[in-house]
Amino acid sequence: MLAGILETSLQGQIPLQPSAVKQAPLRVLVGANMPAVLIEIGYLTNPAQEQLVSSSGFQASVTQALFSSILRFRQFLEANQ
Amino acid sequence: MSNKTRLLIAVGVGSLLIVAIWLFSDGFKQTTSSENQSSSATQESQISSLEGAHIQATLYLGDSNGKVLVPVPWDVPKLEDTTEQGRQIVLAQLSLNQPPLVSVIPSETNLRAFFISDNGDAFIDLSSQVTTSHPGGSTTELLTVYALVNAVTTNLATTQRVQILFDGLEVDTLAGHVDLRRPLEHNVSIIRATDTMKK
Repeated sequence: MLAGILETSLQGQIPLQPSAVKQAPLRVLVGANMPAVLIEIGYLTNPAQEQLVSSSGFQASVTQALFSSILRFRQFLEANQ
Repeated sequence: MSNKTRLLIAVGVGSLLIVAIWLFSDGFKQTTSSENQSSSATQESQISSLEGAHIQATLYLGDSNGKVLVPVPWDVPKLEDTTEQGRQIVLAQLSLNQPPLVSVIPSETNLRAFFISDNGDAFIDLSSQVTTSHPGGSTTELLTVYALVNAVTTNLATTQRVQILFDGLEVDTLAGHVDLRRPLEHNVSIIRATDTMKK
């Protein structure tokens, strides 16, 4: 659920082609006592993407998308309690 | 006892000795040889029945974008022993190459050991090149791990989980992302949707 909200929100805010959401036993997520998602925004090995993710405007867009996603997820949890 | 009787007894005993000596020398050898030939013939028959016999295994390569696994049917030598069969499957997976699909396991990687525990979990012990030569990235790492896990779980009916070891040791991750501290189960979400097959 959280991953789906994040995916939708990021797609509307940043100009990069998204990869499909995957569920996997990632080391940084296994054992977390809360909903946890790993987000990879771009590839620093790609010069164009490196330049993009270095820009303050892009970083602000990503931050806003993450913030609004977490709010929506909280609203979803509260509505379904 | 007359001389004639003594002579007959001596001849009888001598004959028995000769028969006994024959039985424990040539006769025994012939019998053993015959048994060996029979046993050897049976073994050869068993070997010849497996020699050249193959199973069509499903192995995995990455698609040309390096995003998902693509199942590839591949002939693997057929073996009676499950552990040996699993070993052959992993060896085939490590050497698999079929352009334009791409291998997701560093080519320098060697299989050190393959074994199955009492509870049915399989263990793939790889040389450290699988991590030192790995390009990194979470997606590539997922493809590497699940190419191996899925290759074993798809083709060995009795195996549901696989743990990957490096140089005989349990490890946290291959390149920082996928948790390898426990055995992993078959993962269909990483397989190209059009090729997704149920076990």
